[in-house]
Amino acid sequence: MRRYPTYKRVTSAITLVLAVIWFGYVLLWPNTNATAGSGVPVGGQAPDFELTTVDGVTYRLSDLKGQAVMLNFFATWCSYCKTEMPVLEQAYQAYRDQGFLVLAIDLDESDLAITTFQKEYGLTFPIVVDRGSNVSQLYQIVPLPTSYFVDRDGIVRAKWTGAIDAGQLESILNLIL
Amino acid sequence: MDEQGAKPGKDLLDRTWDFFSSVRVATVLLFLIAVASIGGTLIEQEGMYSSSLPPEEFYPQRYGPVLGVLLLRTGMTHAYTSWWYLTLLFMIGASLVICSIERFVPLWRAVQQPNPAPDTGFVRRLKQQFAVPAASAESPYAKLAEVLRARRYLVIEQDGRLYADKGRWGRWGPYITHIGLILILIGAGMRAVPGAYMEQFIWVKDGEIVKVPGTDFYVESLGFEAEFYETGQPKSYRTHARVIDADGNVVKTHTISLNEPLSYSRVELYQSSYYTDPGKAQVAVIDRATGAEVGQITINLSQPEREYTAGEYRMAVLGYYPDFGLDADGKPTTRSSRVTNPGMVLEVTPPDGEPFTTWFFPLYPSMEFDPSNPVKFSTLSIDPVSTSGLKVKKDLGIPVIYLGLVVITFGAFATFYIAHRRYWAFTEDGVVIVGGWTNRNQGSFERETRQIAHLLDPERYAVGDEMEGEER
Repeated sequence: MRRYPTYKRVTSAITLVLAVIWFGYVLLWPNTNATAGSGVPVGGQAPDFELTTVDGVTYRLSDLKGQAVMLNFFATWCSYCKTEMPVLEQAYQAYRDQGFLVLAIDLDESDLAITTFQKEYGLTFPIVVDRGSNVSQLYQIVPLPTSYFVDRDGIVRAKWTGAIDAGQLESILNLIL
Repeated sequence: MDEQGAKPGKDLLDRTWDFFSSVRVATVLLFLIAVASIGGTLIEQEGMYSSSLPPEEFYPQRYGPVLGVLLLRTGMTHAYTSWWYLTLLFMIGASLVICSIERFVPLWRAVQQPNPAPDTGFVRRLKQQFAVPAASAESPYAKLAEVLRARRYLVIEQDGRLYADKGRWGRWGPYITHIGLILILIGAGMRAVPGAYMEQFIWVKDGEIVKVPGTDFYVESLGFEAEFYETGQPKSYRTHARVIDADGNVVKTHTISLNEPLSYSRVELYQSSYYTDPGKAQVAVIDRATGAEVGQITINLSQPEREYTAGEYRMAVLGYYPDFGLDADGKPTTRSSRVTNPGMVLEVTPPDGEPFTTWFFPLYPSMEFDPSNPVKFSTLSIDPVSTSGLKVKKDLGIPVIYLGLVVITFGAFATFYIAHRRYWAFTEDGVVIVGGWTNRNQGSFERETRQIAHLLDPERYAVGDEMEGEER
């Protein structure tokens, strides 16, 4: 059987190699624009950051290894955030002995707006302020609230957008506790 | 293009070639791309719709539970960056390259390695014909070659035959255009490469330093300015800005306005929006009984202090709501992140007497829940503070797309304005018989042929008056 001339076969081979690279890239690379979804990929290392509460206490995510951390991005004006705050507080009280920490991250509001909110909802977990919104950019936060669940090794195990209820939170906590 | 079916014996490489060299496949691909692009235009894309809902909730709500989920699953909600759209672009690119090569290679051989001695019947059948006496027995084409060279023809004399042509570039025009199209496809496909494309939006308050997303530098607003005509129509919006790099050095200062984006390390910041909120409020604290002012305080409404002192009065801020409102339960809440209707709860400790709690609304100081308090407030002035909305854009594909457009322009020029003209000649009984061929502009070629014939044999070939000055 006579084959096509070399230039055709070489071009075909290049096309096939590029196609294989392309599909490998699309299928094996979880976090690109080419595939659906946005934000920090589940299963990947949670990007490290350092933020401070309004009282000046600094939290660095990498220092929290060994604890199961829920990163809750919120703002005091966001009504879904208000809905889920009692759920978060309850879970924090129930599981803090097992090494569960809720780290609420406020999207750059005034200190007083935050403390007012904290008092009103009786929140005991730490609230850090994302001045300049750099960390929410890092985590590509679009809707509020958005929560990332980081396990004891610093790996993102789940992401949740919108208000979470007690049952949903419970089942996700099983992944990281 | 002839249809080559998948005959047994053809291996993968040959079949790949057959697939991509098929015009039918190319047409189907173009159709699919057109359909997907129309869909992407009609369906509100992620990040474009005006709702704060996450995509998982927005689409089922907007398009119904079945279609909404279908759109999300298929990636129609981000059509232009979905894997299948980019795959279609890749395939049309491959088809373009392979279809071009399929036709280009034989054409290249025919044009660059012409056969100077084809069958004489072929020469006789050409549309343009003339016959002139041979110049001499040894070199019958001497005069013809001279005339043709003067007209910038490339002349080949070989095996007692003559071949001359010019305007070969005209044949490559369509292929140059294809290269331009492929460059545009590559430029568009670069959007899928991480770090090559970004479109974001940031708000920068006067005096604030904000990190530019996707980069390692910061932008600081030195102040926003809006100018208006007397009619109230906007005249111009400007943000005086500077760029601060990761080490904290100011590396660029620029005034961003319409068509004047700030450009730094291939990222551009465009003036896009703004809003103005109350900034610093100058407030007088007044003793209700005497009407005397006990002191003044300045409250930065975007970041109030925890405590203020006016004269001998101490005031602790117990609660702050930048955009005061009441929620469904009638409890105070803030409705947005903006300082639109600030309200604060103050615990005032007078120099003599019991501390008491009161509400204070800097924009509406006369609104009081308890007019029996020993002090009241009066807002003397409020400085506005502007927040500028900047669009952050980065697209490394743009220069590639422009290059593609330039190449397409050259290709189109070559295609439409350069004609490939060829002559073949042979001798028969002391007569040189010349046949001419061109791929476009037959009329002009016919006139050129008659002029050449006229120069070689003026008696036999007359040139009319209309021929004067015809030569290109």
